[in-house]
Amino acid sequence: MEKHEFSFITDELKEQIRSFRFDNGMKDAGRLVACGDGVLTIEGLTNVKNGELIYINGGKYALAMNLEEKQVGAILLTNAYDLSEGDLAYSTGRIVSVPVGDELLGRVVNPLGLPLDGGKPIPGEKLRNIEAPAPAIFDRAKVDEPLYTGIMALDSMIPIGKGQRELIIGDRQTGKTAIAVDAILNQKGKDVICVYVAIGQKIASVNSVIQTLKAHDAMDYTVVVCSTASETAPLQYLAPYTGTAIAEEFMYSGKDVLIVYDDLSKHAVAYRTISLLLKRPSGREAYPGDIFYIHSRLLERSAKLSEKMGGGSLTALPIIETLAGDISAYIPTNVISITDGQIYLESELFHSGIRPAVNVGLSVSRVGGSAQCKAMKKVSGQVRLDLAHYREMAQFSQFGADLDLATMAVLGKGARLTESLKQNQCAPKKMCDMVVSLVITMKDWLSDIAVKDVNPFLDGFLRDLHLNHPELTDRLEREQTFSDEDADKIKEYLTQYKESRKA
Amino acid sequence: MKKQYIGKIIQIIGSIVDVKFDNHLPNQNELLHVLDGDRMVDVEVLAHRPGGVCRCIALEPTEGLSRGLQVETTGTSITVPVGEQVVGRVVNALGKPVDGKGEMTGEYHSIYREPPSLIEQSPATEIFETGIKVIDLLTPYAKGGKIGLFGGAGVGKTVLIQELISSIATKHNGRSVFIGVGERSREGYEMIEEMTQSGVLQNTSLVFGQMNESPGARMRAAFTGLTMAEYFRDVNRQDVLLFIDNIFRYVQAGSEISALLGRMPSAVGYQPTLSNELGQLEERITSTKQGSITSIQAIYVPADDLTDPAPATIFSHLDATTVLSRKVVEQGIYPAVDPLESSSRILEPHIVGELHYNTAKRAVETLQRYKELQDIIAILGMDELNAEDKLLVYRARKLQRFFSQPFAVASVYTGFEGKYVPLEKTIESVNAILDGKCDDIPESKFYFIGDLSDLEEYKG
Repeated sequence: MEKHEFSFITDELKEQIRSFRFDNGMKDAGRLVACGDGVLTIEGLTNVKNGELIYINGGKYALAMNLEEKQVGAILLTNAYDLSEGDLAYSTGRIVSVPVGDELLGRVVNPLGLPLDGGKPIPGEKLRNIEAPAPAIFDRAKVDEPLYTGIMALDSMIPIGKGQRELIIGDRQTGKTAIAVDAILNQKGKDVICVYVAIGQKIASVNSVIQTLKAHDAMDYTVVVCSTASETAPLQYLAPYTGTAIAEEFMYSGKDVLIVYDDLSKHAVAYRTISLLLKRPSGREAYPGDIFYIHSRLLERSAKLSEKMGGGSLTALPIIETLAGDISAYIPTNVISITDGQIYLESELFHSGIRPAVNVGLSVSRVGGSAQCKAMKKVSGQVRLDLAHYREMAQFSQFGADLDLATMAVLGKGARLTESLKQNQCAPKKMCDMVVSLVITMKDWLSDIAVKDVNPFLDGFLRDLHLNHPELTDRLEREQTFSDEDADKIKEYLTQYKESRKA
Repeated sequence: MKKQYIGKIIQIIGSIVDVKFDNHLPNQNELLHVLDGDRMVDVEVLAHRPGGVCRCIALEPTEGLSRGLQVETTGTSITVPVGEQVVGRVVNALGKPVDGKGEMTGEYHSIYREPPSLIEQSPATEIFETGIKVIDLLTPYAKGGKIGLFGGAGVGKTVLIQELISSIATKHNGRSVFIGVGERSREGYEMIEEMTQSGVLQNTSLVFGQMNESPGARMRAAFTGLTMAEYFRDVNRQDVLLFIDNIFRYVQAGSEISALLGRMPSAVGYQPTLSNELGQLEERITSTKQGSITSIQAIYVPADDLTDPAPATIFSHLDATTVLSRKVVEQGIYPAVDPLESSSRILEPHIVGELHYNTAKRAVETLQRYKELQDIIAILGMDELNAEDKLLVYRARKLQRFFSQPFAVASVYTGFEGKYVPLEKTIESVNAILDGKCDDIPESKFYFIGDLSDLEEYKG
């Protein structure tokens, strides 16, 4: 009998030892049991929330990603130097949040909201969670106001509206960032706040963007969120969410905001790194299953808000880099299927001198048309189709088909139109200039001008028009409407200008 | 009131939550509530694990949840409102109203049920006109049939589905159900606006599980809308129009969940259960002797690859497939229907009639021949073709352009008024082009017209 009781006690002891867990009251604290590659395994922290910020001795921060039965998988947001097994970790009770508000304008910050520009610290009186739900369907309004990029090829054929998400996609060195930067420059004096998010870029590239913005006085209304190539994958992963939180603060206070994500391919790679290190199962191209979801929930946060919600808007220009022009790879099609259209840049066009190198056939804007102003809509309705038909016809006629007169006319007009859409970097055009140029080329009033002379001719004419007929250009810019009488007047002025050139 | 049991969260990875129950294990597909202070998060049981653990999928974001939180059982699966109360209403993936028009107190049904049996189903054999030339001629849709609109990103699926809603749903007398699965919230907003203005909304129920929602919610949205449509069909014995934009997102949500569950990935990283999951949904979208469901489903084609497992599996469930192609988009032809890839099960002489059948056959043959000749033209040039083939090429190109059509819903982008073309006019016009009655009209005139009577040059 006694013996039996004795074995009962040892069994009990064995059982207790087996089921012993590192707990001893450390609900909000834990201990590092493994670290490497920026991934931490922490025991304890039983109360930690999913997505909570964890503080580690020595001033480091990590993000709780996997809450497993006996341990927590976390990703390190700072560098991993001097971390070792046994270090203490504490839950902070905060989901990652960053300082937001007017004091960020003109600043360069990292994804945790710390300044990178050597300026004074950001007070952070107002914080915002970097993850936030997208505006609900009934909090939205129709995208009906244009956001001009100042690039004629875009504003006429692929117009962007406030609250739209328009993808910029193309191979490296095709001018993707240039378009985004031009769009930011063109917001000067238009009461639009811009946020530029650099994800996994090399520092030199980010720097040159900042210099360009400064040189054109665009930093006054711009915030730059920067995670460079050397930073940890988690930080790169957080950057676009941080940028969006900063932008949302302005949007919800009723302002119009433009955000550029440069670029989401690197963001996808950063997320893949994290997922693989956390041993989450992988799918296509080794990307994790929820790779679509991380981009969809990011980009769905861009919206045009209803009057009730303050009427602000967040317009997004995400950038995706393709390899060898393959827009049907996994990440590119994912993002194309999220955005409201895409601007497709092609290296062949770029090299043959058509800049911006927009492939009009594959570029589309799903909502922009309803956001164009009356004048632009009137003159640009046909531009896209005319160009598509011109290109198809040009290809077909290469093979020696007999060309009728109608076809010859289509070809000539198409060539001049293509020429007139070429535009230099950092040279945004005014709305009225674009309208006038388009009217002239679309009505085929330039058939007596050689294709290579189209641009100098148009520039000269526009200068002349502003000088001699300011009442017309001013009214166009102000009222944004264009009537048939205006077209007649332009034709008259054009004839005069052509005469004066001959003389 | 069923007895409630309480469990505890023991693990959270992404949207997957493990809950341990000590005495009673809830059923598979049962809805559970996680109690997180004053917030309640819905999760659904997916599987049972050893040790009294339920593996669950969260239907809402899991950020902010922690281990140890209490979870209560509900004793039922997800139930959604059905019947007249949902007409003219907008609900989310879980059947909760989001339009601010108040709670629904009527009948609720579980979103899970078996498809109608073999003897209950009735096949579709009657054509219904859409007014879209290329569709009516080459891929005629059937009343009570299942129609798929396939297309890669940005080739115009949603615009086509919106056009179909505006041309069919406005004339349809029965009920319509629109399900938005994993698509853009902006489109959801515009759809509601459009339906309110055209008056379609008062006969329509809308369900949205858009792309900003968790994969669990996106996947359930399809079942929620389908349950409503089934009720109209079975109980109210009505003919129902069901629009789903987009079925691919249902598969995609399933694959996200599968990866999070740690299931072994199948071809191209899809879930191993792809065809079962799809069968469970698609087999319920069907017409019975009581009433019909005519479904129009948009299917996103990832990476423009029709052999991708998701679209390839969906193909076999459909009666008519309209394939939109990027090549056609590049030519500036909208709707960008690829006439050689699209097909319809009812394009048979005994269903559509000899004239329609023969016209369609001729049109396809001409386009196919042109496609074959394109290689020769690219290498040797047009001059090397014989006179007959040259004529064929010019007629085929006119036909391609004739198949473009201005849409009412796209008039803001194109600046053209929408045009509805009756089927007879389409057949007549196509025959005229193929018979050479338009040989002297330049091909650029054929862009974005209705039937041939829109051409001044055409004498008839």
